Amino acid sequence: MTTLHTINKAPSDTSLWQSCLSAILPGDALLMIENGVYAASQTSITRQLQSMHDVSLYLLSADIEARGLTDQIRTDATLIDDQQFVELSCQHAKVVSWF
Amino acid sequence: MIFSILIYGSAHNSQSVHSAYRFTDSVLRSGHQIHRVFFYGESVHAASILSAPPRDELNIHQLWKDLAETHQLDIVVCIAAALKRGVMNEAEARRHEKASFNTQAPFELSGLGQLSEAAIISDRLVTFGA
Repeated sequence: MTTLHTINKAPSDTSLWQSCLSAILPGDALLMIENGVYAASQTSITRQLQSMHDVSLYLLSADIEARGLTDQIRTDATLIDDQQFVELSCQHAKVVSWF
Repeated sequence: MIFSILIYGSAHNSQSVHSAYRFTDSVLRSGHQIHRVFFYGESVHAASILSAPPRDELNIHQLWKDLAETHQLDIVVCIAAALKRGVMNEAEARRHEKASFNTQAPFELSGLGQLSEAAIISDRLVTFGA
């Protein structure tokens, strides 16, 4: 039983990010939305994200575009649209939102 | 699959009401079902019929109203959160002896029981935080 985690705050909210990352288990997925997508452009947090074992990383593309980050992504996270967000919610047993 | 949506964030100071709108729209487009949308905390301001944003900005109230009417959605606004923020329908305005009201159908004022029921009935409860 896996979980889709969403996070909507920038990595400057360090305690939120640390709580979120420590709750993620192998097989889970992390979707960065709203200001959470800023994590994709910051090497300190992307290094931590890449080191997590068996965790899929996603970015909500509309939120990346709205912030002009399209060319600044420093992680191998997959860009997804809203429809794929819905599909991910179905694939995982529950959705946990970090905010 | 049956979804319910819980919204916490401010209608005008955060993205959450709009993120939730986009997600709800996508759920419906994907052929899934929305059991209920629950507006909690600051998000209750989205239910105000008196909001009049500039023409070049999103009218989040209108977006939700149109989506709810098109798909016959059950959109519930937490009554305690709404009343203390001055968001009330005609019946509540009368009950509290207020001169006017500022919300109406399809937005419905109700209690947290509606959220509990939605969590039990739905396959997925997706929260859009502040």
